[in-house]
Formats: sequence, C-alpha cells, structure tokens
Amino acid sequence: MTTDHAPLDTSIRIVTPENIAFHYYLAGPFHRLLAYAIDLIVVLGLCLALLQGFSYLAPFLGGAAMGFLYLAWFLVFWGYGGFLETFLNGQTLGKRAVNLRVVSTSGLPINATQAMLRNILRVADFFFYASIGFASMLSTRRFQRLGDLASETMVVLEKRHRLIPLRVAASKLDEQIPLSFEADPRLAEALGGYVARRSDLTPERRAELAYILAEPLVRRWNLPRNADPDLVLCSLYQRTFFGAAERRPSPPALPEDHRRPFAQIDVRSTGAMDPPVELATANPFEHRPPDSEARRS
Amino acid sequence: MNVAEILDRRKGDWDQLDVMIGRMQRRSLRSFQPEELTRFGSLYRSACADLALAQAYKLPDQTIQYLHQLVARGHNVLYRSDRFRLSTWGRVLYRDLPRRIVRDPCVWIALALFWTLFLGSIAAAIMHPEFARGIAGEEALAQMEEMYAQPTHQRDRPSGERTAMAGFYVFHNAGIGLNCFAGGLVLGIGSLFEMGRNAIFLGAIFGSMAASVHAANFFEFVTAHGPFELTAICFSAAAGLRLGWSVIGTGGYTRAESLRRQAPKALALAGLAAVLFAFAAFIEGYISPSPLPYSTKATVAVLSTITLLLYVVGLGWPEPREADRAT
Repeated sequence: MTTDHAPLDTSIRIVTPENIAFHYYLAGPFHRLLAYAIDLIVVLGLCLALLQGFSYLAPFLGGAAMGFLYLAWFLVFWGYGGFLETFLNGQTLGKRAVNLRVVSTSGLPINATQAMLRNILRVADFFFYASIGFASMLSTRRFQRLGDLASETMVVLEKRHRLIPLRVAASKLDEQIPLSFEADPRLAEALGGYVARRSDLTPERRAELAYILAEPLVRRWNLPRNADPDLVLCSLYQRTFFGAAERRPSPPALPEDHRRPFAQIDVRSTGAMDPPVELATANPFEHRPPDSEARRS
Repeated sequence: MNVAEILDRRKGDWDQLDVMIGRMQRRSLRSFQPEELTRFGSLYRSACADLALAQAYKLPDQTIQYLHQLVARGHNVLYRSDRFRLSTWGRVLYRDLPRRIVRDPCVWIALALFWTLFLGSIAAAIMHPEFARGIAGEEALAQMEEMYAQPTHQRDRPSGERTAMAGFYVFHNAGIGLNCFAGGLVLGIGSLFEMGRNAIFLGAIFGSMAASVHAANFFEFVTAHGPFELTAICFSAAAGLRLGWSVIGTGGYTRAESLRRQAPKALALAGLAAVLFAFAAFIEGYISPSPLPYSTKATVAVLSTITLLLYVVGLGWPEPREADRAT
C-alpha cells in the first residue's frame, strides 16, 4: 500500500489493494481540540457521576467505596480514549460528535496498542501548555502529534456525502442540440462540475457562469437567443452523460489515456473471480444495448 | 447506454453496501452468514470498479466523492485490524518483555540512576538534616514523624480504609508511572526528571526517617511494598527512556520510523510498570499497614523480589532460540 499526498492540501491519498486511490481529509489542530474538549467534559462528567454513584454505595461498602472510586477514576482517566478508540473503531465520543476518526497512516483501522499508546502519550503532547503537540502537528504533514507519530496514526475528517441525483430535468432545448455533439473529456468534466455545484449558486451567478460556456454554443447552433445559459448547460450535461432522448448517442469520449483507468482496475478479471456480481455490467465496452433500452430512459 | 446510466442503475447496490457497512461497524463478523460476507466482498469490489469508472469518465464531483467515501468505509470494515487478542498480550508478557528488559540498556541505566540518586539522597539526608528539610519541606517531615510515631499495627484503622488506600495508591502511583513514561517522549528528559525527582524525594524521606527515633515503625511500613514500587518507577522511566532514545539512536531508520518501531515495546514495559504499581498498591493497602508481624512483611518483600528476579532473569536470560528469533 502506498501513500502519497497532494502538496498544499490537507488530504492524504491512499491506494488500496483494489487499486483504488481515495482521499482522507486530515483533521487540523482546531477540529481536534474541539473533539478533545468534548471528551474532557465527558470524562469529567463520568468522574463526577462515579463520585455520586459511589457515595450512594458508601453506606454498604464503607471506606472501601473510596478505594473503588479511585480505581474507577484511574481507569477512566487513563483508559477512556484508548478503550473507546479500540472498540469504536478509532472514535471517542468527542470525535464522533465532530466527525473525526483515528486511522493508521496506512489507512487501516487502529488496534488496541495504537489506541492506548496515543492516548497515554497525550501527556507529553500537553507539555508546556500543549505547545509540543501543537508544534509537532504543524511540522508533520499529517498533522500528527507526538502520540500519533509513535503509534503511526492520523486523525481524519469523516465526510458523509449525499448522493445527488445524476439527472437534471429535461427541457425543450435538448432536442435543439445537434445530435453530432460530443463533449470532450474536459468539457464533460466542466459540465459535471457545474451541475454538481449549481444548486449552491444564486440564479444570477448561475447565469453569469454558464454564459461563458453557453454563449458561443448558442450562437453556433442557432439556439434561441434568449435561452437560459443555465438550461443550456443542463441540457448539455444531460446529453453528455445520459444521451439524447431519441437516439442512442455515442458514449462520452474516453480520456486520452484511455487504457489507464482499466489498467488500474481490470473489471473483467475481477468479474471472473466473482461470478455472482454484475461487475461486467460496469464495463461499457461489453454493453451496447439495443436502442429500445436507451429510449426507455 | 452509457456510463452515467450504468452507474445510475448501480445505486441499489451502493445502498445495499452502505447498509451492510453500517451493520459491520456495529456488530462482530461472526454474526454474519457466509453468503452475506461473500456478498459484501463482491459489492465492495464492484463499488471499487464503479469508482474507477466514475473517475475515468469524469462524472460529477459529488458522485465521485460519494463513491469515495463508500469505498473508504468499506475498506475500513474489510481490512479491519486485529484489535485486541489476549494470546498476543500473553506472549508479549511472558516471552518478549522479560527478554527485552534483560537486554535493554535503558532499563539498566534507569535502575542505576534511580538507585544512585536514591542512596545518595538517603546518605545526604542522614548526614545533613537540612538537606531533607530542603527537599521534602519542614511540614511534610513533621507529618511523617507524627504518622510513624506509633507502631504501624497499633494504629486504629476503620474497616474499608485499606481498600481506600489501595485504590488511592493505584490512582496516584500508577498515574505517576504513566506520566513518567509519556514524559520520555521528549528526548527522555521527562522520564529522567520525574524519576530523579522521586528518587531524591523518597531518599530524603528515607534518610530523615532513618535518623529519627521512629525509624523502626517507618521501615515496618515501607518494607513490604518497596520492591514492587521502586522497580515499577524504574521500569516506567526505562520505558520513557526507550521512547526518547529511539529518536536519538535510530539504528539507521528515520527518526519517525525508529520511534514507531520502539513505541509499542516501550508501551509494553510501561504497562508492566503499571501492573507492578497496582501490585505494590495492594500490598501497601492491605499488608503494609496490617498488624502482621514484621517478619511476615519482610517475607512478602523477599518473595516479591524473588518473583521479579525470576520474571526478568529467569524468563529473560535464556538466549532466544533461532526459531523464536525469526518471529
């Protein structure tokens, strides 16, 4: 497994055995401080609760209650982080609230040794008003404090992405785009990026952005002059990724180095090993369905 | 049909994978049917394929991001680490740890330093009472005098106080030990400082009590738990030194890599120290203040010393066989 990192970014790229490269977003000191503050409150609350609990038990246990209380405090103080990170897969309650997770630098989940180590070594990071841990975080590329360095872990932000519908509403403009239109990969990427973000933009901003790309096309294809640029791009997007409503379009052009994506993950060979999956359907080259199927959508 | 459409249809599978990952994060692997596990594997691999496709065809960023995090979460449950296994810990405790202790210069440095400072401080405190006063403070010494004014076993102890004391000693002493270990991360300075401070402080108290008229009461109290407790503080410091030294003497690795390789070993040693602190705390809570005769307490001390020697030297001295060395 190899790791790589994009310069000037706080993401880490990890290549899995499946040859998929995915990115972890590193959590900076302030995210982590927030999570730690929550954990601190939880630990203090737990300690107070234990104090309260054992004071109820004191009549039955006598002085021994004090002993058990101290023992419980010791375990909570030193074991809280390590225990939770072991059994909640790298999360404490604070990290869960802030959506952080501790993972090995290789991208794998952490084990008990790593969890205990990094939590006990936090003491060293808090030396001199936490300046040691802070300096260490700022000078390592994965924002690791000393405890992270020793246990080979990093803290990442967990982002949950909502899957947005790929399709956009069809419009009359769709029919006016020439059937010969074929977006090159760069245009396809731009269209994809635009449609993904357009819901975050105001109508004015959409028009302004879309105009840049739509205007020359409107002129070339003799579309109505007053066509909404936003709508033009949506139609182009629809055409690029889903094809024309009437006839089967050619699939979007392959990227120039078209052999690479399939060298990275050979769909057919993986498919051969697991017959039950419809992996093969993910291979566009084997699926040139009849026109009827395209028309149905 | 083109790529976006194919991927659009795979949504059902992604949802299924998403739900499965959620279940796998919460429950143990054993609660899954074999078919479910195979299904998970194939769903995961096809999600990987989908991601590759989506990337190759420059689908909208959000789709790629979604697939990314789906694959990342799937990856996390598929390649789960061996979180906790008792047999591994047993092997470390009975085989690896004693061998390392015997061969680790850090342990011997810590032991030598501790005893030098401790004995030196005792000598200084006996010869110059003002040394003890300066180190421990007038009040603390007066308190000690008062505490040991009568024989340990004659003092009145309400029931339950022993447990309270044992619990407190675990909390306090093992806490010091772990702090001492963690402090070592900063080039070993924290460990050396913490251990040295404790050695000199304890030495000053020992020295001044030895010179006092209540010496017998004092030694009756400290004998039983002494071996475990003093060894524990040395081991804590040794573990810290190992951490600190790994950054200096890297043995050809980069500093970070050297630290990473040594840290789990140091943690095991610090864990052993915490266990010894706990043993000491229970002896200190239940045996040291008890009305048992001094001979019994001395026997406890001798037995705990023998246990330590057997553990460290007996288990650690034999040269590892070739077969073991490979593992």
